[in-house]
Amino acid sequence: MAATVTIAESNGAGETVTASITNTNMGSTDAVNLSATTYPITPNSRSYIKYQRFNVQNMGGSSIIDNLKVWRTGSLGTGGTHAHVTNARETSYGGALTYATPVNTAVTGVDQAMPTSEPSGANLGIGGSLSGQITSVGYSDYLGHQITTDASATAGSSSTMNYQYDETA
Amino acid sequence: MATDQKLPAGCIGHKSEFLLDNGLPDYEALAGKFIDGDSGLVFNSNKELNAFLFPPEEKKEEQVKS
Repeated sequence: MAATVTIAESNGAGETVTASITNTNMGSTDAVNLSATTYPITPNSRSYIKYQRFNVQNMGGSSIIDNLKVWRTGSLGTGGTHAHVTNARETSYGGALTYATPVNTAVTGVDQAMPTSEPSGANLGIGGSLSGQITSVGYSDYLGHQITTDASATAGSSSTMNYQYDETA
Repeated sequence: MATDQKLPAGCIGHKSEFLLDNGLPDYEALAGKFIDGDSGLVFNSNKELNAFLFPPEEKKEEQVKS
């Protein structure tokens, strides 16, 4: 039996954790599974940052979950300059990101470009290290990511976030 | 001695969407619906102002009055 892995998201000042998200839409509020239509982003501003983690709910008899990779498939919107920034990185990993009440301003360390294809190696850590491993029920490091737009932005987009892991039986 | 077996990589995909607030109505979401209860403006899916600004019943009443 394979391990049960979901993507969890944390929101709010008291860190409310949702164990398994249904979407990772980005918008003008701090909310899990938000509706992009209800919370559009004003041009020249950022979306509220997302704090998400791989959530190993059950090892399913496997011994190791590791080699975490995240990337986006699909382009961002048009008309102006959009960016999708993150703390995920394959080199010079900055250690585990600390959770804070999500904001729609820049967050220290969340300044790398989100990859648009599968990274060659892990780009999100476990226990603060890209070579870390999950060996029992628990979480990865926080993945922080956010959309930035400029005043010329005219349209958003719909893409896919990919969260990949290796599993050793 | 049993050896660990590497399983195929697991991958979870989630939709990631964002929209921009340019101060314009979301025409697709508003198609066939009133955006203002007082004016009764209705937009169709082609982002065009629908020809019927008022329900047919009200138009008939206005014609009778005039």
